[in-house]
Amino acid sequence: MKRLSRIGLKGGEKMDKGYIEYICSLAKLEYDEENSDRIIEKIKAFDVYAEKLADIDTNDIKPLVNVNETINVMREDAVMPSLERNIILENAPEKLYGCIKVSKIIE
Amino acid sequence: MNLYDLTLHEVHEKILEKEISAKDLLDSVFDRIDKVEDKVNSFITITKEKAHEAANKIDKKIAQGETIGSLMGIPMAVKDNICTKDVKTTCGSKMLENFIPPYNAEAYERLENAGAIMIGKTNMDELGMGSSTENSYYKVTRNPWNLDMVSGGSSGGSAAAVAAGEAFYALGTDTGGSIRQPASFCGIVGMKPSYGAVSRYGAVAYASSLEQVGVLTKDVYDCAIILNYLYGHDPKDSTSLNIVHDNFIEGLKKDIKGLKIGIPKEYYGTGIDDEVKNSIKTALKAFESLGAHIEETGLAYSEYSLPVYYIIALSEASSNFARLDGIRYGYNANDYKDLDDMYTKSRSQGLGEEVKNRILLGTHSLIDKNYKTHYDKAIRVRRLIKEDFDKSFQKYDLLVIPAYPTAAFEIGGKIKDEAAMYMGDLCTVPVNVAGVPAMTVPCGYNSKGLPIGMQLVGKHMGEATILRAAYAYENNASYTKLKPKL
Repeated sequence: MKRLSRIGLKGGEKMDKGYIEYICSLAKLEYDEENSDRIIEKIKAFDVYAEKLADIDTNDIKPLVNVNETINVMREDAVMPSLERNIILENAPEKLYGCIKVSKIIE
Repeated sequence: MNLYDLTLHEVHEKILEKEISAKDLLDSVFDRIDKVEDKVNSFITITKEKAHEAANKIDKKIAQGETIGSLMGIPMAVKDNICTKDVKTTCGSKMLENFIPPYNAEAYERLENAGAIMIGKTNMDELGMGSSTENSYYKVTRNPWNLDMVSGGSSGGSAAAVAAGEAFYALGTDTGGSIRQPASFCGIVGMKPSYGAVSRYGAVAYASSLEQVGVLTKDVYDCAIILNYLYGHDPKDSTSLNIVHDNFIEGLKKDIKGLKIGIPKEYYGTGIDDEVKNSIKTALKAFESLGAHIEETGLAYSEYSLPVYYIIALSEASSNFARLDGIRYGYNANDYKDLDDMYTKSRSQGLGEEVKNRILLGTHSLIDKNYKTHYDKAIRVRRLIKEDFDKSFQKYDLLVIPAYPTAAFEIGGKIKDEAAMYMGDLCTVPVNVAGVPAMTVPCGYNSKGLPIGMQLVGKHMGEATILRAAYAYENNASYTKLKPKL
């Protein structure tokens, strides 16, 4: 674990329960204190794995997000067939007045 | 001989000759399902009524003299992460237990339009995350060759259904080996197409830049038939390539004299079972006897494929699965304080442990302070891996590697040998990182009678060469082909 500093955790930061709580909040997943040691171990193992890539100098290598290096696909700005509202709503857990119902987001 | 034991092209001949109807085929397959499904657990949903309605329509069309296409009236199965209109598509997850797509995935739609009869949706590891189908929310699929063994994964239900005679072929998806490894475990053919060759529209995305929809079949000829329907541009998928593909049947029977086959040494190291090595060695002799040249080679960046694959796959998963928020569709926790709490509770209750862990690792790879060392680094090394494959294909027409280091492992057993586990990933994931096509072809059995598979890997859009070589091998293999005894 001594090389961890090279791959993310900088001086003063720790891979601790607080960090797990933080990434859980980003991923919108419940933080489970009991489970957090296990997650810490998983992340540490993953980082050791990722560390392997530091062996390769990639300064002059361009990123490859998609093997076909696709570009933006454009089409005419024309109305195309789409699904009916009532069909879309069939899968929504909560609906009201022909809309998908969500909780209040403005206080 | 039972109808369900035949291949797609064999039953097609019988339909052409009017020896049998679509209904006869369906009856045979559903009889088989009644007998073996309780043991194998291939399906999450069986669509018997819809299948009968569809078969009736096909039989009427045939009676009216309509031209009979290769897929018309023939029962098939679809992995449960491929959207099927009005039929539940759960992805093996509690999160999507009641999700009924209002549209078909393009890959399935093409087959349905050609008269394919879907008989059900197959079991899988939750959202494609796993390699044994033990990670499904619903059930564990068992290997038709030995019910104590896994069927592989994540397309384990599709592989088991085809091997058990419950379907003539099945659609699957392959993000990091999810078609090729279960095909190997179940002794059938499995094709992961070139990235961009088959539309991903309506296939529930796990790692968008790695995965493709593909097919699991009883033999190579059947695979070629289906690829002819699946391949081709789809304007609904921006990653779908707009290029003309070969007719895969036409080239199938050409010889393979002079074909150059590379054997990358990195894929035959410690961890690969001796019985697997020996089966492939025998297969290579068959290729040689057919006029192919075999040569040892290397893929220098192979070992880096694994971290690259995991970082990319989990980063894309953490982003893709943000859509599983319990609002527009999917599981919704009833008891919550506010919107944030609703997201968190719905996702935490609806998703399984493995999926949540992988989302967290993906989130960890993408956060600002790790981005450079993780995701950004991985996509740069990805270019080197792709170039490594490109270079290799300047010299060789095909690469041959094991489909998996071992035959199927025990249910609940996991692989204890770390080297074998490492090689398991190494055999399958580099192909997805490089976006090249690869096919699992059965090449023998181990001492326990379990199937062994090899992979033929081709250059991007080089499927025709893979199929030609696989077909030549299949017809000249020295081992005796068996069927699972169920």
